[in-house]
Amino acid sequence: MSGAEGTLPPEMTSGALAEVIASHPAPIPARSPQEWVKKNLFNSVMNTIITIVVGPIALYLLYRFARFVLVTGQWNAVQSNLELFMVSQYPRDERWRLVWQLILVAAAIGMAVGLNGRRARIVAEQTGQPVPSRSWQMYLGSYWSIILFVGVLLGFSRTAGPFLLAGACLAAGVVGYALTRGLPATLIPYGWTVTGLVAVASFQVLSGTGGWSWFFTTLALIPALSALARSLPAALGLAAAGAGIAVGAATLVFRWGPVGWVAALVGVYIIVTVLKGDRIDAGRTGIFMVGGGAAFLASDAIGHEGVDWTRWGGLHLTIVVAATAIILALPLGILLALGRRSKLPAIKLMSVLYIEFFRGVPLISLLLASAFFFTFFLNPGSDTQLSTMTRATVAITLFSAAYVAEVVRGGLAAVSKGQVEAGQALGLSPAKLNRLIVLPQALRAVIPAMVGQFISLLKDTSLLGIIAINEFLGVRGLVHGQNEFRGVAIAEVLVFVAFGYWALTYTMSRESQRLERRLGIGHR
Amino acid sequence: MSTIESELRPIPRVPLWRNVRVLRIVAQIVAVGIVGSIVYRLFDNLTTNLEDVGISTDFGVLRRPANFAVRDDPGFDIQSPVVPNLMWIGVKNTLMSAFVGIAIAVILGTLIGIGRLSTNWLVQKICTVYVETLRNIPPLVIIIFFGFAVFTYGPFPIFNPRNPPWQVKVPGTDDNLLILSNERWGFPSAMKDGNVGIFWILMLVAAIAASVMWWWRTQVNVRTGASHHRVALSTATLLGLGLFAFLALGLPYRMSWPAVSDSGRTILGGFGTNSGYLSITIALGLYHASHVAEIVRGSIMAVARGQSEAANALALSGFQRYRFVVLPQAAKIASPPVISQFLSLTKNTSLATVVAYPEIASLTASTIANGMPAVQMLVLLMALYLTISLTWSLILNLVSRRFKEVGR
Amino acid sequence: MISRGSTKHWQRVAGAVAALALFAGACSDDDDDAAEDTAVESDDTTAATTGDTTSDTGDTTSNTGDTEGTTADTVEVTQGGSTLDAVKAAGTLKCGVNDTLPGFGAVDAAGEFVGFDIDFCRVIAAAVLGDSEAVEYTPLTADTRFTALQSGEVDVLIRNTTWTATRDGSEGLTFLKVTFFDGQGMMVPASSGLTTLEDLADANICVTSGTTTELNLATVFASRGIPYNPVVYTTDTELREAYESGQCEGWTTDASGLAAWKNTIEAEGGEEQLVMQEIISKEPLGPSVRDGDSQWAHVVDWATMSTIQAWEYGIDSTNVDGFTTDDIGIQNFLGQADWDPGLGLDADAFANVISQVGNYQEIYERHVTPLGLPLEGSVNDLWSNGGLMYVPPFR
Repeated sequence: MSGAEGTLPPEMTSGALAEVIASHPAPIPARSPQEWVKKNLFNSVMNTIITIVVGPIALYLLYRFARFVLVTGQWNAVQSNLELFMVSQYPRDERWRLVWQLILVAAAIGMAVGLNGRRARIVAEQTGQPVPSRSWQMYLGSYWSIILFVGVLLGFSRTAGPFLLAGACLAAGVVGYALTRGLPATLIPYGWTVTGLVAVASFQVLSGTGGWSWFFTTLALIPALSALARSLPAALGLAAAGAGIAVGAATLVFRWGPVGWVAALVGVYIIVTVLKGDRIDAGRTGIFMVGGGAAFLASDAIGHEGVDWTRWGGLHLTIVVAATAIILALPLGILLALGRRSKLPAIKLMSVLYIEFFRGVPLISLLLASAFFFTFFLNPGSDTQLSTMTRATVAITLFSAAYVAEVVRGGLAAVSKGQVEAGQALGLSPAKLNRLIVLPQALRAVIPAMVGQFISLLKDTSLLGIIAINEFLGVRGLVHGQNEFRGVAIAEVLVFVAFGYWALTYTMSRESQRLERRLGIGHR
Repeated sequence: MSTIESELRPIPRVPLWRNVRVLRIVAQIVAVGIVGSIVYRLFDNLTTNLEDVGISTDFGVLRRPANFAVRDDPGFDIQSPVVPNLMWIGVKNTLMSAFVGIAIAVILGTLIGIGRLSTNWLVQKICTVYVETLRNIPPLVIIIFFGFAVFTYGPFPIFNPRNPPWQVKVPGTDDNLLILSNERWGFPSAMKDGNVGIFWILMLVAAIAASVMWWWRTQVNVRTGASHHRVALSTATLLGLGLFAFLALGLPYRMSWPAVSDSGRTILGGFGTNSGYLSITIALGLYHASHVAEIVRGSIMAVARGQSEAANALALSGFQRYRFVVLPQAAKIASPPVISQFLSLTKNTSLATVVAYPEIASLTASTIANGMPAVQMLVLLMALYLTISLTWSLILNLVSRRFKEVGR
Repeated sequence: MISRGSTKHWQRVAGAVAALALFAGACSDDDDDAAEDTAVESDDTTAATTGDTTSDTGDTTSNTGDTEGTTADTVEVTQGGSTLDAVKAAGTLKCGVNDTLPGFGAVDAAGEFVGFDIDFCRVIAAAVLGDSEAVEYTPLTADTRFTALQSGEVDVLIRNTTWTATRDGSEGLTFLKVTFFDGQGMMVPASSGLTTLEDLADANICVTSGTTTELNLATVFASRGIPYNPVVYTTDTELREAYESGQCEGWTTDASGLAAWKNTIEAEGGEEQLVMQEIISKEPLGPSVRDGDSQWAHVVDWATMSTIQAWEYGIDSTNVDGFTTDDIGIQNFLGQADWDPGLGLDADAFANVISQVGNYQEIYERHVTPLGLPLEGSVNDLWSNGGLMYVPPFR
């Protein structure tokens, strides 16, 4: 790390700029091909031998692989089951939900990119640095694996639908970007709120009425999380109040319809405003709630009934489960990390036990436990049913919370002692110290590691197939269960599945490395 | 004076609700109370519900007979109890797969990690492609790939009485160096043939002698500055004494070559294994090698460039630079994360159920499926894994502590 | 000073006590919040779904408030153990099935469940709800099927499950009318020349985990002293891959399953297969329900048996509508007369079964005959034809 960056003049170490430099190495003086070959392949006796031995083998393997992909592969096993791979047995009549979800997610991503760029520009203007920009080649360079995957999917599709969908997503993304890229500085926080809203709305569309509880959970969670960076006690209080109200209101709603819902909104809103006394946050919460309500009512009006998630499947399920689990694991993980650093022995002990237990056992044992006896934890005689899917998500969430806790702990440890001491010297209370100095730095530092955690979670969801949940890898079983694909195209299906996982995780891991570099430089 | 005065004056009492010490205790009691009551509630629900549906919650059931046979364990009596007999086979299989997988991961990972820093463009690219591909695919996909695309449907021949497997002979003899098929592989191994106990006692003596040699040469080196040659001399001591013991005891081990059994279905002699074992072990070895490679690369890059330049200034050759300057330092940085890879590899062996390899997790699932109560079996499984994990953590802590002392 | 010291000491003691207490419960401490959260969540989901489906089915009032009231009632009733009321209130039947066994339970390319067992789920739904499509299928592995039933995740388990004493006795479930009489067999490639189990000494034998098959195999081979090597897969898909590639010389499962696989393999141009003459066990397959709810057991039982009764009466899905007869027994059966056996079903429940799904013969011939297992003359034929299908009188 240190080598290349050390040579930059100090005023040029702005994150984005360094990245531009890193991705555009100094032009190598034009050299003839012979010189290049000599320098890179035959620069020593050892290397010459290696090149001569390895080169033909590599070329042969490359040839075999290319031949497999382009000529001999029986890709019709993948082609005719493309829908199964994407959404498995998601009911046909309800597929419009997935379409809208994708479009909304695309819009949210577009808005996030636009807002991020906008903020970077404002910062650059304020500090007088050149405005960072990423050309389309750079986007292509960053996201080529996903673009390739989408290309392959479109290549396999036999109808116009997927093309239309891809076009619509692209358009939604562009619209989102266009709307936010020129936003006035004062509106940026609101822009982020709306982005979050669109993301939540995408889930609303997906789950329809079944998403009541999700909606209220988010309602309780988002203000709590946004408050977390400011004040831990306030956040805890809010989370508790929010959760209480959410649960209460969720019950009320089923009796009194919109009245209970509005009451819940007002309640949460008042709590947030009173506790925080912060204009922007009050405004953001308000927008979030009113917008969320509108999105919810809209989806309720269109959708009637959501699709129970026991019927989800394929790549869609893989991504949704991983995202759900990481979002749910985050608050628990932060609490555990703080608990592990706590000076109160009982709390520390509980956190340590939790973390070490869940890191010590393999995920499959938890999934088996979820399959075999999680339901028996419910109250005797309770009518509540937990589907396999729900129980598995609980298991994955509990599992990843332990890892998230370790990631966050790493971030907390990375905050230099000097920072803490400086804060103490200013006479800050431990709580204030945490919320003003430690957590903001720690949480920023863990973003790349959290992306890494999400990647491994995404890979871990492949185990769901073992307990008969047909996620992306599990669809393999369905395909080979069909008459025409029994015992054939084994490698093709696996290569396709591996390619799908790879396309997603490769881009994410590259992005997390990029982020790490950027944050790392800004850190120093 | 003032001190006396302050002692005389009663210390103003902090009210109870603002006394930090009291608050702390209260907070802990509340936290423990909440968590404890939730745990108790859940545990209570679990036992009540299980009783309601008539499932035993007694751990005594674990001594019931297993009633099913285990792959490649012909000696297993189906009437013998689940604990300890069946689970012991599981533990053995888990560890056998984990250790070999770890060996593959470390050796291959180190080579690839160094390869990524090679000045040879081709090697560098191949290693990069390897790491970036394998690292981003779920291990389960790789395991299934080996299990089915490589072994089951791969290029290897079927192994049954009508279809002999490939047998690679030792040149000039009738012994098999290797037996390859789509189900069973055979490798040569050492087989005991004589007084093994005494041989190992002698080997222990030899090891002690080698350690003494090491210590002595180090002392000489420190005192006089003469080159120590401790690796060569210690190895020579160990091997020399070992060879002496081996010959003196009349060859307690002999080579055992794999051979196809009379039934034409199994491998006798040597080390015979099945596709399940090979799939899980090789797949995990390769998958974790990609992680190890990244750690190795990062560690080498983390060794300050100045170190490398200093080595250059001393006119050390490329190999010497790596051997004496870069790698020893990089190894210290790399050890803790590599050991956590060992832990994660060990846990990943639990995915072997898809390739029908009977390690603890798949035996547990089988046992539950065959009517054993799930709670007890899964508690047992988790306890076994926790033991393994905590052992790795202990090693990890010892190693990082030691390197912290020696290192920077 | 003393007081301070003692506080510290006390603190330490408290810590130690807490530690001890927690070591006992550490395994599941934080599980709990999350499990409870989800409980709340899915409670809502269930309730919401219930409300809507009921109005979809069309036989309740459109007033949502009313429906919700029903749901609340149901909760109480179910605590008393009435699965029937719960199913009626939910408007869907939750059926635990196989999704990888051709002919019995599989998913076609359109993502729909099809098969013999699937049709019996539809039979029960038709009888209870009047709509054979009102089924929510839950694919289960052999390992998890009983847990799913015990825990109430499914209302009925129809997943080629063998009725055994241990399962009736200690798995907390009740087996009902056998829908398919089967026995465990062994399949080998025809070219292998193997004809008896003894020929399979030392051989790899593929078997699915968590089945009676695995236990029978172990028992039979151990009693005869034949050494063998079980290769245990969790799904038939993987197992078939291993078998067809020659990794296993023998494949043992229910004879019907073997016939299905033999047929499939040969039809797809695979090697010719031989199912050995020897049947090593009895495998009566049928639906099962949770213990302790005899009302629901009766409903499932009689709905299942109605397909056989209809077959005996000569009623099938083509002629059931407008079936005219002077036989009062048949009139009762079809709900044309004022006859209520008190099972808690509508009068036209059995007529619905036959018109929407068909009689036993139709179901069998739709799914099992194509596997190469003709119904005529088999053990599953009607008693009057020399088979075992015999049902108590519908009167």
